Amino acid sequence: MARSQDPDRIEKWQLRRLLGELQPEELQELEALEAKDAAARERAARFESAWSELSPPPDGAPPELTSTVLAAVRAEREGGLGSVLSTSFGSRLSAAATAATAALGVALGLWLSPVLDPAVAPGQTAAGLLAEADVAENDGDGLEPLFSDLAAMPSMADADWRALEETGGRLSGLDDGVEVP
Amino acid sequence: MMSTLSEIDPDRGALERAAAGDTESFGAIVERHQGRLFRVCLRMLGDREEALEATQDVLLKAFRSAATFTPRGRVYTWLYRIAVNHCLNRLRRRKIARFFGFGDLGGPDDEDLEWDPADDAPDAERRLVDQRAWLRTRRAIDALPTNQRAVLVLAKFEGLSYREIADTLGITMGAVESRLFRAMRRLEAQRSEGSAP
Repeated sequence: MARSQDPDRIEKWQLRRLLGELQPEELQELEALEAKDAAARERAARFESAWSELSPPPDGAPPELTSTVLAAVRAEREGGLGSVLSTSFGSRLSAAATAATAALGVALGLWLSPVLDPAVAPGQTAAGLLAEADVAENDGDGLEPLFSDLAAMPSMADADWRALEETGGRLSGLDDGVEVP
Repeated sequence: MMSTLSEIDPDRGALERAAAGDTESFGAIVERHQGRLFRVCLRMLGDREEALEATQDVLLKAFRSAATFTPRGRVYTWLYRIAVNHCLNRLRRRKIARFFGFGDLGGPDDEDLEWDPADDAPDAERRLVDQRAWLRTRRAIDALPTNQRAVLVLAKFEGLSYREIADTLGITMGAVESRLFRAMRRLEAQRSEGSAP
């Protein structure tokens, strides 16, 4: 669609104006629109208000973050498996448990949803509902959706538990499926 | 005279040395970028403790991946990309956890943010106002789909250009504009609902 035909161009231009990215000719056109059309002016003003109301968090990173990260890096280089990220062990254990339980839940849901829920459309499963809730938002952004492939979930959970068993309860970091570019 | 890649982006040289095992060089990268990575994680995740943990994870991933870094853009956009991917995955895990009835947002609620008159620090009241403003922002951001959230955080709070966001997320500039527009449309709608009588 041509830019001049885009019904949302006022708001899109306004956003680029707020970010300092609007081209001079577009800026002129936007200002002309605002000057002659009160509705356009109001639309632009509403976006500006919503934008300026977003406040940053009050605190910055704690100064000890550098030393914590470098200690973890050194430990990793020296092969100190247990010391790396030991502070986050609890939540990693919890994440592994979450993944395992989620896998179990999905499997159960797959089995039960067509039987128990009259609101579910014929042929729709728990996996489908879950995919709609999450994966629908991933509109081809190139970022791997972690649980878009439901079949991969049990194996991820298995891998996490295997890692726990192999290290005797000490984890150096679970693979979260991110492909580092 | 042609500039070398390291002159254009000093992080490149540090990253190459880190890839060769030089921890101190990586320390310089950590020092330079930890603040912005922490901010991105905090704004994406909303919870300070989780953001700290995520920042550590992101920097460790960067260290592990230093040798495979492909010099297509600047090092900091690569770091942002790792951070955003990491946070998106955490958010998805959180969503799964909520779906099955455990896990919450974390972070303070309104009732936790009371001004303590005994706190006589000169900026105590100011801090409370800032925290409340951030809490409102956090709730608004939490309601956004994760891919819109990432674009909004990078544009609004990190001041990245559309081009930089596109490079960071590996999407087109048109997709950046579209997602930012949709995010703001949602925020505007939330705002209207909140102010409706």
